Amino acid sequence: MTTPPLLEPKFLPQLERMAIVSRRMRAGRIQAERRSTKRGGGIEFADFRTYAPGDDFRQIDWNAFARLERLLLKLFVAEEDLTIHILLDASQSMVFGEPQKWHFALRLAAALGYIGLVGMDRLIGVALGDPPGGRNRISRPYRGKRQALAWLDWLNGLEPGGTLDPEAAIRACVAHTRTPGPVLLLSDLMGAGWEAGLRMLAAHRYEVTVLHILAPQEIAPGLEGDLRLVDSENKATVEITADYDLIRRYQARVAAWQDHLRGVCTALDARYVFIETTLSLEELIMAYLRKYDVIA
Amino acid sequence: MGFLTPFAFTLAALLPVIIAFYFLKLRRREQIVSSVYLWQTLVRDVAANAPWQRLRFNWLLVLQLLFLTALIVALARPFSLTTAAVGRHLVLVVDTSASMAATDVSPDRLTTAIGQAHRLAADLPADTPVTLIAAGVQAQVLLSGSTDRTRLTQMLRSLRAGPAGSDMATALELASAIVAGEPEAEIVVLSDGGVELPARMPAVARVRYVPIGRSGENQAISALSLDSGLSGQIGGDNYQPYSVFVRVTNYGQQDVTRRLMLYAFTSQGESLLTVRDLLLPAGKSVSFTVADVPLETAVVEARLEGRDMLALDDRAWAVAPLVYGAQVQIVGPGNRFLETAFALLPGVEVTTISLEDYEASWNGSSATLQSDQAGWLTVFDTVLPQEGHYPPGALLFVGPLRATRFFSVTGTLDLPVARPASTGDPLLRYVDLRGLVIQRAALIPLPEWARPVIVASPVSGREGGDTPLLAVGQTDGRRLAVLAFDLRQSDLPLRVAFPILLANLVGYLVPGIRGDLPEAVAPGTVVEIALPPQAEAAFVTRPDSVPVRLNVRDGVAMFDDTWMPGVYEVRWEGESGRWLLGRFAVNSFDPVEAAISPRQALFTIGGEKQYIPAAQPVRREWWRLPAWAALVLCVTEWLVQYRGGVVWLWGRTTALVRKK
Repeated sequence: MTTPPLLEPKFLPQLERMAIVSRRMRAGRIQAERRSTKRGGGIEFADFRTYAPGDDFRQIDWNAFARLERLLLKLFVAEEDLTIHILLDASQSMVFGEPQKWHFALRLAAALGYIGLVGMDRLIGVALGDPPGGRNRISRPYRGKRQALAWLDWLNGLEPGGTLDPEAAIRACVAHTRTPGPVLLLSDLMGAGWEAGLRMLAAHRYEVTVLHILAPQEIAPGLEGDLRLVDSENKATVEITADYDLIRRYQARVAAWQDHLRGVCTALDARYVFIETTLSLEELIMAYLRKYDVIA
Repeated sequence: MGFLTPFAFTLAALLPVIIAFYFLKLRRREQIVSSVYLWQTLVRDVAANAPWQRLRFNWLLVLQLLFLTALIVALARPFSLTTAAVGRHLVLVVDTSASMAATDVSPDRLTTAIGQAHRLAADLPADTPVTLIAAGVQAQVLLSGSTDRTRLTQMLRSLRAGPAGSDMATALELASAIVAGEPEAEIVVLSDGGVELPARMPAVARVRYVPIGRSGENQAISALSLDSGLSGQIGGDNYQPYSVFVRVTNYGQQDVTRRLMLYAFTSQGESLLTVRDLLLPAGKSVSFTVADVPLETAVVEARLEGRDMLALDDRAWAVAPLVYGAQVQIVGPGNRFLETAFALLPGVEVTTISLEDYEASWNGSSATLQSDQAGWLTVFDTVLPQEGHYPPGALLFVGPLRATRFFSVTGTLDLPVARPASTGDPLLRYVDLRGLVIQRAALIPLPEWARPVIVASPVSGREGGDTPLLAVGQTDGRRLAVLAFDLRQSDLPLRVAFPILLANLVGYLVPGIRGDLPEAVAPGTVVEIALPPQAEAAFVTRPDSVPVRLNVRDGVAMFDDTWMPGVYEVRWEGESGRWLLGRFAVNSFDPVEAAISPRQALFTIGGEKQYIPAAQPVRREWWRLPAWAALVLCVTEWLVQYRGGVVWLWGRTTALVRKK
């Protein structure tokens, strides 16, 4: 069985016209296309400053000198790169659903990462819980369109499975990364500890976007009869008699859970986007995420 | 309530098994899900399935238990005993004979039968048609295939017990014809069994007989007659008092003593003739005669004092024939046979005169009698007066030798064989013509005004077949009879039939002389009233004093309103006034009606064959009701179990409909 490519070549030109939206200006490491808190050689005018020895005399505003006979430096908003973190839930629970959540998340991560690479942003991928049962697998930083293939290769090399302690995994992630920036969390958020992890990211000034991915079978399970439900991660069981009432209450529970997560994200100044795997990637990128101001 | 297959209740052992299933741990199917994180919060709600949990309320359990219970009850085939009708078309045949007025059940049998009919109809579905037939003296369809219960109630309320029997055979024939082609129909006969069915009944399917009544204790006046004490003497009077014959029958099963009172009614009023206390053995009759009843008595009434179950037959009436002092004049050489026969008739004064004396005394008007008031019969015995010398009144020609203006004589017949011209002729009632020898008779073509009574049988080689030997009729305002042979040339005067024939002839020719009216008839009998030729109208006064005017045709009036027991008075009206013709009594002496003991079956005539047994309570099974309940419960349980899918399907269907 051949695995379909994460990104369709014909889709790439559309992605190249987009950018990941960052609501905050951050000081980057190199000059790129992002506005930075630094003043530099960008295009957008920021302020004037009196020339001091050592300054780049190329930035002196000679017109102002002609009028005012003072050496003033014209300051511009520096356009620098951002470090985009794509956190990918690689626990066993993601290997579920039709369409499968893991494969869907991989394709979404590939697309988002490609957008970041094209925008000359620094991209770091983190597979939470990968390898199975082990610690996070963190990619090396990628930048530029030329490294897109490497990004995709890294994604293709991921193997989902095992259990995941979200709080511990995010703590490890935060400890490893030192440059807060946009964090795109792709997960089904199944299990406890995700809320604590999100709070931790927010506390470290990460600009968090939660892409909550669920399969349709998790939203409206077609279960019937007397069942023993087995957790795909920890093999925990729950016995139910699936009837109309129970399914209805489960759906109400899912809705309440989503509302709760949305509330938590709002409180943390994070974005919350619920995604069902039945969405096509193109529709998701071109319309859905733009609507939620994740990409522009 | 009973059960045809109570063995089915052993299936009730399955009830605790079903309950046990809800106690036992379920063998569940494993289903891998991404995470049980969300399900864990719901697990407390489904904890009823934990192993060996305590039993909790569960609609499915309730429905399953109810389903099994209903199924068991249906399989046990419950039934109840009922007399209700079960047909798709109910035909109610209600006996309205006299015996249905018996009061052995409160208030009486007919009311009880009407109540039963009401209940039978009420037990039927509203759309089941009901036919109502009243089986009285004449069967009558009062309601045919109607679902209008109000109309049925009205018709039932209109039923009245009649004074006579019931024509149940015709009623059943009607019922059978009405439900022909309806195999699901049912005929219910509501009767006390006091009916007789013909030996060959029509093919009546699915008939039920509901007997009405409890007791048969009834005593009845079974016979009452006022024997005439009159005897006519030739040329003189010799009147003797009447005698009354009474018979009382006890149709019950117990000996009783009843008091009988006899009353005589004269022009002066009512008087008590006698009172007797009669010991009536069970099933026996007691009769006696009361002599020396005054001659002026017009009516005798017998009453049984006290009460029994049927009051209708506790009264009876007898009437005395009217006497007019009628005169019969025999013109001829003298005929002992004729004179003796006329003298036997009560109230008849007979005179004999020779033809010469008759002609000599003819004065043109001749008659001294009042033609409107009384009968006047002139008999021309083998002689004929001069043409035009006919007296008023009726004429009887015996052995005429030549033609008159009333008839012609074309020859003679030798040794004719006499036979009745038609069967059932009242003039030949009790007259036996077999073996009658007639040596010679006049050949008289039938006049236009006459009808033949006795004719000569056709004999091969002889002429004169069907020639009338006795013809009667009416012409010129008088009645005539022609006897074509001389009595001396026949053995008729020597036969018993002769005085009877002569009495019948006199009754026809001179109505009222010997009482052409019957003395007593059964209720409902059609009475033929022969009136004098002068009569223009007739009136009958019923026992309730209501006069009824009758139309007269050819001197005869028909009266059929004889439903009320009692004495009827007949008068005729002519130019000179209104005259009393006679009286007759209507009595219910029907032993079938008087024997009111309810029967447990309807029998054919003579009781030879039990045709329709009394309806026994039938078992009405009720298994359909629990069976339907089981089906409904089964479907409901399925819907409850899979209501999610049902709701989804309903939503999809509704959406599709809305789209369209």
